[in-house]
Amino acid sequence: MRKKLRLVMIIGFFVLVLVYPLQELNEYRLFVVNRGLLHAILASGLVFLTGFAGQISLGQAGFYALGAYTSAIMARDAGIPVPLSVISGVAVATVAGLIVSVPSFKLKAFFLSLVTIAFGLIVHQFASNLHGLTGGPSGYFGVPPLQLGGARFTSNMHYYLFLVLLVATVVTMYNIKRSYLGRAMFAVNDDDVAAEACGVSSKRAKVFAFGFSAALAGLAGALLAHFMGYLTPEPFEFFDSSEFVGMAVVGGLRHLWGGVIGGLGLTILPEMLRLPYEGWENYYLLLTATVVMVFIVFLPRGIGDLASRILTWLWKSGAASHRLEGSASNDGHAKAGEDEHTA
Amino acid sequence: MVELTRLVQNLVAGVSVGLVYGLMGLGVVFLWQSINRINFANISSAMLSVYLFFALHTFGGLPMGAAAVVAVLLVGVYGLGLRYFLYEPITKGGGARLEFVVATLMLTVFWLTAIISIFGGMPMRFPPLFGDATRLVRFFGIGVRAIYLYMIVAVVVLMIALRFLLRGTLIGKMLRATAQSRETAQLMGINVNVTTNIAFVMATTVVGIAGLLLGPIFHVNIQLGGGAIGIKGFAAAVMAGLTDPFGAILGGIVLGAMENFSTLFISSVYRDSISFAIIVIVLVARPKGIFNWSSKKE
Amino acid sequence: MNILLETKDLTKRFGGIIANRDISLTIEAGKTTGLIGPNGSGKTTFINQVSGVLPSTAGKTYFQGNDITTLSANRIARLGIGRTFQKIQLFERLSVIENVLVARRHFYKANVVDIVLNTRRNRREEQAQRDYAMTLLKRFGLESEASNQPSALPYGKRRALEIARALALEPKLILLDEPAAGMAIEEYSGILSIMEQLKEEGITMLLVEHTMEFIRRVVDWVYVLNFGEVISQGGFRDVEKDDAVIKAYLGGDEAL
Repeated sequence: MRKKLRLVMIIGFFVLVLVYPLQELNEYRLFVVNRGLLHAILASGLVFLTGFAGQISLGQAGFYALGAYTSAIMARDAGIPVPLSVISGVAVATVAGLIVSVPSFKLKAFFLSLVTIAFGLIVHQFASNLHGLTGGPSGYFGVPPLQLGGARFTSNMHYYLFLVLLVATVVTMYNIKRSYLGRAMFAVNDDDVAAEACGVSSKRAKVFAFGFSAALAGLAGALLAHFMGYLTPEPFEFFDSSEFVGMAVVGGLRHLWGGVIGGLGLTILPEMLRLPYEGWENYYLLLTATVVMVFIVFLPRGIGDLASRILTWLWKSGAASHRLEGSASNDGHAKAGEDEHTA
Repeated sequence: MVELTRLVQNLVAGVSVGLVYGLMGLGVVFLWQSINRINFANISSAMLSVYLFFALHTFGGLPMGAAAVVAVLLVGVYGLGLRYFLYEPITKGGGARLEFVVATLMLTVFWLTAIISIFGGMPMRFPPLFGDATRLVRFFGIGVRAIYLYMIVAVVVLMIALRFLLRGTLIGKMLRATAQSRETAQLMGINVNVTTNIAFVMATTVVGIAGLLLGPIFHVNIQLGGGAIGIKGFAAAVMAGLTDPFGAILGGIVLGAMENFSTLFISSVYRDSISFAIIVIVLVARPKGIFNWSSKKE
Repeated sequence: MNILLETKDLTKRFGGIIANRDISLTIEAGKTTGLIGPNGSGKTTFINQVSGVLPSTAGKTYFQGNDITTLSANRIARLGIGRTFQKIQLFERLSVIENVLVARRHFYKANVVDIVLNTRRNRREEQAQRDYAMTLLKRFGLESEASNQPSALPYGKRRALEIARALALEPKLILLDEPAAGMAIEEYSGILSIMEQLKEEGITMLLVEHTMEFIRRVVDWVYVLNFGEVISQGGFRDVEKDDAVIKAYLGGDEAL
């Protein structure tokens, strides 16, 4: 009985995800969901960086911006095809991530977060002031759209593309997590001295984690550029960086799906709560901020943790824990080293 | 060649703005010493005090002086609220440093949007709390804006008061003992609960005062609660290794002066970028801070 | 005589305090060398210096004739020096078997592409390494705990796991920092038999220990440290009678 329920739930979920855009008539809502998918990719990178490797970034919007502007400029001004420009955006963001990882060799927690904040603010300032290159605060327009067979991508096509990339992101993270690379990162996060004594280079683990999370932010940014068709420095501010970390935390830092849950949830939910009264359009941001604070106070391990508990409870059959995380050590992750991941 | 007058004027402006950054850094130091946490919500305390002052005076009809005092007091009480509504619940819920960082950042976002919703995003004129702030006061033929002198006097007076508080009173002894080691302080019979409360109140109060001092320059502006100014407070604290109150002030002065000279000699557009780059360099080269005399030697 | 590790005038200074001064000692291959001394005599600092956790202020460390003084801790580990810690340091977020697998990292040949695509090569290699780790756990009687969290293990087994993890490096030399600390005789007899086994297999060990009974049973040669200086060396019986050693232990008879 439980097995059947599980099967129905899984199939139902997949059908729902695949069919959703076909029945969505409200173009704006689909737009919001697409933004949510991009945020999910970005927040997954933060789950990787913070939950897995124990590093912190409050400047993720900087990598996001680098990916976006690089891809836009390469496609419009340098005239290279869009898929290649996206790759160049990812590459630039990754290189920046590798550079930003260097201070993490020496610095931890708050000091590292200051470095990343400074990085994010510097990128934002350049985006706002290099008028010739980025168009400055008034914006960068005419970014070539993604195309398929000569036709522009529709909202639905964007949805499926972003969905595929998000799934690829999660699968990649899952494969890394259970490999020696993932173990090395967890080990460095837990106890870097012991990890070094086991022949694991903590520097390499940090470089890898920063590079990977920056690559995901760059990918999300590059896709954003072509999806929107224009760019302004507005979505790349310091408070956006903190919101991204908020997404990862609310979703569950130690969970493979934490970034997906947080990224989609914190993008879609506030839009549903947007009030149509003049002067209060921004009210939903108040709600987002409140939601994050409430979640941190009452559910510090994130929704991912809660969801996995509920699901485990729903089907107590043998394969349950395997299905969820593919790792029996799941619960222990939440328990142990509570104060270690940023300390 | 930059003429001497402008050089001096810039130095005075840089040092006085830097003193205020130092004041914000002081807020960081107080809290770090007490609970070993960084409170990103304090970024918005400067903005809160300025808007409170503005509202109390303009809408509440309070005279400026009273409005300023009430605003700063309210921000101090707000510090207590931070402890009991944010810090304590998060700690009890098993949240670690990162959770506290994110929650306090979100509180800053909350206040920013709340203020935009109530007052709108446009800057408003700062009531002339310090009289005509732009008026020039002449020293040896060099004109210096009055507001900068107010800033210097205010911070120096505060520093003297703080020095007296920390060195000359029982509260100061309790605070310093707690900063050295919570456990030892507790063993000595010091009520750590009280000193923690004092630290929270002092941390937000000094940032609130800093906000009012910056008011004539930044006006009643949400920029006061934005990332850039808050980060400079953190930077001042970092230069002091997060532990030395007077080092934080000195760190702020250096930061303010460098910022002003980079405007003068390089570019005003990238002024903040230059300060941030300097912060990164300081952090990487001297993680223990430059102006740090109070941390124990190895 | 085949010398595996040699230190020459190894010194460590913390600010103005000298923790270790000019320590020169040799560790012979295949032998178990003991390092004893009163609390605070610099034993753990010495192990930290040799294993690269702490940089040395002066002096040199040679391993198999190569200078390893300035190498990073992970390079030294990969060269074949495993270690345990005075206060047990396990990876609490990983399972027991994963703890061992962390130390197998440099035996993997799969690259990032193999991992991301989870190629057959990656799966086969992972299985092989898991098998290796399992055999190692069996030796320490930990096989039934393989997928548990280390925090669920009793103290003695935690210690055993830490040694198993160090052995997973396939080291030539293993540095044991007080493996029997905080254990009663019946508890540490398990560790003792493991060490006797390792010795038979020809694994070289440096043992820091307070429990003299333990030392007496396994070591071939002993160095005695006091205030960061070597004050005596020799076979256990000779050192035991050395006046300088007895004096260092403040009356001596209580400890020896």
